[in-house]
Amino acid sequence: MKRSLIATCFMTLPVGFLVAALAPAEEPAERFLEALRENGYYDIALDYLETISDSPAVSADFKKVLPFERAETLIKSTANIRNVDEWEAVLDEAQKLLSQSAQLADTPELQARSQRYEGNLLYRRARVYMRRSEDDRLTVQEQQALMKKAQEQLQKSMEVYQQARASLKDLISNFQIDPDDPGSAGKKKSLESTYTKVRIRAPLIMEQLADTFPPGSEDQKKYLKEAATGYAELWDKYFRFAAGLDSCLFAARCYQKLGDYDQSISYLQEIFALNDSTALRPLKRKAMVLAADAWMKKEPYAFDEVIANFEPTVQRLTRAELRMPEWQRIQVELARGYRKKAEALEAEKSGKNTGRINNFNRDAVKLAKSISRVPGPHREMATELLEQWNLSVNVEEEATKPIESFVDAKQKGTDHVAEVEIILGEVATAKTELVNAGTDSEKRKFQQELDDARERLTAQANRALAMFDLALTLSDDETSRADINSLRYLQAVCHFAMSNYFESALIGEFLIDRYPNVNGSRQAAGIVVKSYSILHDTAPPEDKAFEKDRLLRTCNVIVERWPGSNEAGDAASTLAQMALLNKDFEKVEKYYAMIPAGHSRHMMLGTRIGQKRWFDYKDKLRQQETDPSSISQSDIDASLAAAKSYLAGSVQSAQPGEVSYDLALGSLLLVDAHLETGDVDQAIRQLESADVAPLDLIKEKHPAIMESSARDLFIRETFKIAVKAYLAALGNQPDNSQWIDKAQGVIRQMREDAKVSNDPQAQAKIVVIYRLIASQLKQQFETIQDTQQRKAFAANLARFLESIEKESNDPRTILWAGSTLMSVSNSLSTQPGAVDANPYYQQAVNAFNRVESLGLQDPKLKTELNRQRAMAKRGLGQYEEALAALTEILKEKQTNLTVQLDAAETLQQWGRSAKRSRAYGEAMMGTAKERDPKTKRQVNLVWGWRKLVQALRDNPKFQDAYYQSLYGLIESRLEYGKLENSEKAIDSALKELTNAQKRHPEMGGAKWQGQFNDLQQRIKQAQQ
Amino acid sequence: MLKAACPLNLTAFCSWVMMTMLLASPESVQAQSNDSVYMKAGVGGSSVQRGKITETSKNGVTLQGRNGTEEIPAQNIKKITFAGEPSSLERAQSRLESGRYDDCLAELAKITEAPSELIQTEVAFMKAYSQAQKSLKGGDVTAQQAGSAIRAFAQNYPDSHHFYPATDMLGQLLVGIGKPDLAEKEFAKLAQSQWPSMKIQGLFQQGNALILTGDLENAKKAFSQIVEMDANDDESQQFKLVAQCQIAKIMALQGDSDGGRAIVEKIIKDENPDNALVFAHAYNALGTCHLQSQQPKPAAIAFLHTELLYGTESAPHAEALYNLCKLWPQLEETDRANRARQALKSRYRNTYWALQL
Repeated sequence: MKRSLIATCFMTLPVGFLVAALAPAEEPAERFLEALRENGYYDIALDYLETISDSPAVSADFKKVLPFERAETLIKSTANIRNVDEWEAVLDEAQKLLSQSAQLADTPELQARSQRYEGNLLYRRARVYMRRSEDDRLTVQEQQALMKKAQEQLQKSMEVYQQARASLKDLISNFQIDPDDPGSAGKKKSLESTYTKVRIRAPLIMEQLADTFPPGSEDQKKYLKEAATGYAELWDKYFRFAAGLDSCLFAARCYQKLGDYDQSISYLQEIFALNDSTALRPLKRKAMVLAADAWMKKEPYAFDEVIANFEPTVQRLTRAELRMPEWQRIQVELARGYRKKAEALEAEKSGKNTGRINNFNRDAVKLAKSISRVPGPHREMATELLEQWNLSVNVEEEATKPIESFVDAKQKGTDHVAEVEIILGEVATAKTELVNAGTDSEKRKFQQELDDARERLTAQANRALAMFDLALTLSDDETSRADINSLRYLQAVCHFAMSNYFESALIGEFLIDRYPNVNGSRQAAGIVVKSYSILHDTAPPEDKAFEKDRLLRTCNVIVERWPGSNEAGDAASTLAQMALLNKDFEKVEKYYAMIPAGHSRHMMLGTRIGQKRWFDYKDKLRQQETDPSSISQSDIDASLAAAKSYLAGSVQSAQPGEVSYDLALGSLLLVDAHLETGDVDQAIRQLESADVAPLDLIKEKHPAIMESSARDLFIRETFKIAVKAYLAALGNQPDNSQWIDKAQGVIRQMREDAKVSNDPQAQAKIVVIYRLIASQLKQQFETIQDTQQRKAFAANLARFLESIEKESNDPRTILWAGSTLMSVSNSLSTQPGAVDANPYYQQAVNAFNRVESLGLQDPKLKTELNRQRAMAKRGLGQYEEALAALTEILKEKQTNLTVQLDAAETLQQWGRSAKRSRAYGEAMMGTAKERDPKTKRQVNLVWGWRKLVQALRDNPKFQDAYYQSLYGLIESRLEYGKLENSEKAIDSALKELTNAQKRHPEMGGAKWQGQFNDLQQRIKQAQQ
Repeated sequence: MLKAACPLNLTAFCSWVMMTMLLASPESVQAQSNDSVYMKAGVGGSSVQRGKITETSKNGVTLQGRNGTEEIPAQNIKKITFAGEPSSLERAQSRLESGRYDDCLAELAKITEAPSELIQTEVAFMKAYSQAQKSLKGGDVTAQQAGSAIRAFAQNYPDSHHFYPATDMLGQLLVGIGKPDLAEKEFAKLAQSQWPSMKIQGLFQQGNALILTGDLENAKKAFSQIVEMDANDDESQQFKLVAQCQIAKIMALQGDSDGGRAIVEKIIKDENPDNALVFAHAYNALGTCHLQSQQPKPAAIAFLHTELLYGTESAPHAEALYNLCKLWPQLEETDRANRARQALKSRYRNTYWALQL
């Protein structure tokens, strides 16, 4: 047994001291670097390595190893990285550094160092593959392939570590201590310490290798046994070192994985025997958790061992520790131990142990209840135990002793407050359950539970307050200010719990103002913020000034006085939210930066800021459209960048268990923001496979979405953005069928949802989405400059729309597919680098014919169908048929402006295409004469450009149509004049243009001015 | 001058009576007839001198031994055991030496009546000292409570050889409650001591207190006196280096950050980094230089040296933690600020630096 030796060793020295003692004494730089890494300050360590590269205070020897140390720092920093892509990128950077520095390793010592770091790199790479294989979207084969890669990396890592071990062994055995060099002995010790660290790597790798094989497999067992043996050897040899102690724990872990609980517990007992120093506490905690699992599975249940090992530690847990999941697990097991002990005594039926049985039962119930009443991972286990035991024990029962001093009264009151906090947890749970209750009987049940909990809360808080009043009357000159202040703080807690917010705020403010430097004041400040926040939120809208003023004042005091504290985080969060309401983003950023990353509100506030900045960006875009001079592009870009940064920061830091509707929406907006900046790959990753991926959430029917009142909107928007992302991914690849398949899949899902939806407007909403998608596609298409890319995109798009059209029997969907094709075909044929659009026009005609055959009930849609088909035919050069179709529409409603414009344009195109002067004439003057049933006079059903100009002039509502008509009229004259060699017509065109310019100097603004200027040039050229 | 009361005289022939007492009384007494003065390591001559303490003063004790009367300077005394002292006193002494102040106080509580005035003085000192140490280490004794106890001791026993250590402790407690101006006056008393190491300690603490009051010129004078002292023993050498670090810090606070940095960087380069006291002060001074030059990141790195490598030096460690609390938010590292705050609050609860939060 080496316990006694270790106990002596650790009685006075923390583990860190032992490590430090072994570290080289001559170099504070290396020691500091190691300490930075041990404490997780990787960013500072990297900065530090930069700064010391030219520092005269650092030795030349250490400067030589800086690239290696930089690589090792990068490798170790991956322990803090959650995103596996980022993780891999950092390892790549480290590998690059190690490769670049390979030639620097020109001494055996440097070679050993380089080998060690390379071994670690390979080990961490294996972890990357293992993490990737956990993705449940992968097939079994894909997962196995990744595990195979992990195994290869681990084998290589093992080989490299073996080389490092051999190198270090040589170095140590050949090391000569120089009596003239005081640092010489320390250097040897440092090498020996490094050697132990390298030695523990072998079993670690073995254990990791075991994890790459299926649980229970022979391979897994083989590697676990090897790992356990390796750890055991290390424990035997290096039991005075931290690495040896870790080995003992790890050996127990391996035996537990192998199902050998006796062997596992025998190792854990070695750890329990160590003294209770702070340095050993984390190790003991881990050992106890392992032991709890082992004892739970062992038969017969070793209740005496459980009680003997856990009870002394559990009795000394601090309030903070009592809530830690690991300690909670240990408490549950101790509760089980008590109960089992009671059962064993009951089974003896001696009749002599009634008192002991009652005590054990009471302790068991008390402990299990305390865990079952607060949220945590072991709550369910504790609840199950309580149900299983079904014991009626009064845990409140306790000896009543008279309260005679301030200390006693305060302690009693503090105990009551602890109970208040537990009941508060019950109130919160009951509220949640009430909200989620499905049936009326459930609602009644949870309402009753909530009422009961509130009643108990009030009673308990009043008990605590009464005890605090008593304590104050018992206080005297000897009572410290700190004690009285902490009591005041607890008074504030009680008032807050009873919703007496003015009282809690008042007490807290008193403490902040009068005793800002005394313990308890900071926590009280937190209560003041919460109190005024609630009062502010519940005050009538016209009467919030007082609460707002007090809230802002308190928050500002807190962030200035206690920066970095949780309370300052709460205060900064409140200030940021208020600034957010006013869209004062500068202040929002300032306060947000004050909230610690791990603070409970950090992520959610980040999401809200991101959302707000995104909507602000959208507002600015609209503003730019309306009045381009009113806002700068850099301002718009800054809004987009800020939105993206906040959304990414908060969404990517969220754990899957933290998903809320706000966070899901943040994730969706992040997808859109990525698309906005052209980061299509990132958009798709966020959409499909991020920790909080909108499509995934819908697929798994996540309660955050399904239980939200905005459920339908979220789903619809997700589908819309998903299609947008997939179509954006189509890009210019010649064949990108996966994106087409995915887009189709989403559209199919969207239609199915609409079918089963109770929303009468569901179908119409889908059509709106179709239109938006079409408009976005058109925009996307128009931004492509290269002819080949345009062709490729058009071909992909046509395939996509064709598949949509073919598999659908819904006329609206097919109509949308045809219209979208039309839109793209028009862009193809009219923009520079024209591409043959005929196949797409023909595909559109076919789609429209199919819609007609399926039947359309809505007359407006019928008209739209005929118009679109006419346009497609015009695209195909079938002008006569197109004109006939348009004329038919005009017979129904001659004032259909869109159709009139289309008809005039069709005639002009016919003139241009067929060099047909008559068509130009009709484009200008109109055609299709018919008798007006009212006036009985002959009128043109197709008005032509001239009449359109006359009809639309001076009507601001139709300004755009007016300039289109004016342009068509003048251009038709010019082209007619050129076709017929008519100077008169060309002059007339110029005259018409000059007159228009005199009448409307602005000539339709930016959109039209340029076109009219070009037209003027063309006329002048024709005149020469 | 305090005349020692006659100790309980136990003779060998009464050993059976002694045994009876040991069995019958909850509080036993030592079976020794002499006072024993244990000397510090490195002091020449016998490690223990026995006899009867006839007088005590701030500067030492007078021992009447077999070979006559001898003045033993307080600076040479490791500990004293008294003839007829209760066994609890020895146990309390042992607990005190190993830093188990609660246990020490528990043992002292068993001594209901001191057999002599010397023992009474010793008990009073150990009680006050334990409370002061508990307070300084963040225990459940407030600085006010400890300060009252230690001040009472200094007032009631001005001729105890514990007077200077008690005064030093009082000064430290006054700093801990944010009264460096009052503390400076206490430390000034130490600086007047004939006891060289106490004189250096007094000047050093006086300088530190003056920095906190903002009287940088006088602080510099105090540290300069240490540097210029004609002493070359290890302890003096160490304090001279630390004093140089503090001078460098003052230079930075007075606007000469570069000058201060040059001094402290030379110390860091030349001295053995295992010298924790010197290096903790050196890195804190370097941090202050960077702070004064508006360089928060290098400042944080400097203070981190103290935090991570020299945390055993409690006073500079608390100062480093305080500075890190203030620096991390500037570097947008609020989590780290929070950790530093927690460490300062939990480990150095009753210190000047925790009070500044």
